[in-house]
Amino acid sequence: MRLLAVVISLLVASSVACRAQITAEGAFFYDRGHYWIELAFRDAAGRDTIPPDLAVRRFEIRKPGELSGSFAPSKVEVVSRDKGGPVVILASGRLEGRSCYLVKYTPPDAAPVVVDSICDPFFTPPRKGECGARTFFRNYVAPAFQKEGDAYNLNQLKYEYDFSDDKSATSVALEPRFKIGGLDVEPLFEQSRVVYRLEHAGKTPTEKRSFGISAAASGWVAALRLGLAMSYRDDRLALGLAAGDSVVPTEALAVEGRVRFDNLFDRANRYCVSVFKGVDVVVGQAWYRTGEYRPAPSRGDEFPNYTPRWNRRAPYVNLRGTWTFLYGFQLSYSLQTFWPSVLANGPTSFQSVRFRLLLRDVLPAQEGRAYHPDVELAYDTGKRLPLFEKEEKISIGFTFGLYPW
Amino acid sequence: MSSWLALRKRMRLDIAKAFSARSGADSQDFLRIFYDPLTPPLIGDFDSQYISDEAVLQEILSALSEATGLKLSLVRSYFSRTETFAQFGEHLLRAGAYSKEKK
Repeated sequence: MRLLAVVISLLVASSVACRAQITAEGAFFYDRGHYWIELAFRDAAGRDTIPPDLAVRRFEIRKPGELSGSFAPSKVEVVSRDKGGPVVILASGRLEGRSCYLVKYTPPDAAPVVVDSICDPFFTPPRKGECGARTFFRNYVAPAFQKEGDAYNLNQLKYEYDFSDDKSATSVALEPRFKIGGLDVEPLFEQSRVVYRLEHAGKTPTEKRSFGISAAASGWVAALRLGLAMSYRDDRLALGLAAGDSVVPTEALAVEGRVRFDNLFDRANRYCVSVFKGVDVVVGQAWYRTGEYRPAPSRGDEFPNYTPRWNRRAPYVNLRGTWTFLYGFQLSYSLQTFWPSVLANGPTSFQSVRFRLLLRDVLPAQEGRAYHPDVELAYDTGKRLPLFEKEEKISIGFTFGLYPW
Repeated sequence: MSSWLALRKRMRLDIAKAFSARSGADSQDFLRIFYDPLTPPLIGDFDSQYISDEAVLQEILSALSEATGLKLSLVRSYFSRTETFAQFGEHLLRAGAYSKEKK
């Protein structure tokens, strides 16, 4: 009987020891073009330890205060350091800069370990008593232009110049992004002037004003980020012809679904000189109409020759991706293929290649880095919505990111 | 290579040492008031209270340059009065602080 009691007490003791609480501390850091979470575990005696079961499913990451939206890391790795004990590195393409995270680790036979407030040092909680203008700038203006997020969709204020022989073009585009009620809202304003130098007609100036707005909602499903977006765009092309000015208005409405594969590149992104991001496939349908206003010679009234209904359709597929290499260079590629209902020649495509020189690390002054312009060389070719005219353009632009990281 | 946690702890102490030694602020007070709070004051707040002139700032940044192994010009380029000390330290770590030390 006494032996049985000893055995039971030993079993209870070992069970308590096994369930002894381990503790952990964490760091959120940026390295090799990505954000990571580092966890250091310690046993009850305060010694560095690595839990035996580090399966991905045992980790749960979420932002503090948000009950939904938790996700598991895409990869868990134990790394031995020269100084200090071994640590656990959590990788996920869903980690965002300037954020705080809570990590919950559930061991097989012990109570869960929760590490909260693992924050990017550049995370800035709202300050009480801050003046309204500063709060507005930090909450709306600065995020609208920062470079994180969709790398191919440049939140931009840019100037372009077209170097081709038969025309000269200048354009200014403003395309910020705002988060409103869980939606990414992107207004677009663009003004461009193109002067065609035609042999038979001399100089023909054109002015194009564009306004557009898009709203997108997105969420994570397993390792994929799925999104649904609606957009509307209105273009007014004013032609300065010898026979009289005319205006060609076009409108386009599009609905598209997006599947983003960034998370699948986590393993490839472990090399510091090469980072893939913004890789996605978009499938959509556009409805558009176009027409022409030409003022009458005598009265100045406009005779609309306008397609009255949204009777033109163009399903499309868009493949996009961005590759950042050697720290300071970024290459983006986009291929859009349309199947317009009015063209008999079959599908048409529009390709866009953008090469950016990220200047943040070569500018000497802190002020220069915080508001650094990146130089962008772009090559666009093909036909696209809404006019499906042949375009071929090489341009150099400057884009601004308000944050150095 | 050290863990990021270890690097942050080391940077925290080096910044506290450099700024407190040449400004008259107590090292522990510096950490408690200017480094560790969840919403710490900006470097500019410390600068206006404790750093008397540009020469003192130069000494502080030189000491940090020596401690981290980064060039003085690089350390200086990351010094911004509109950021916090933790952010300043993070800039230096991302710029490769301590990476040139013998392993």
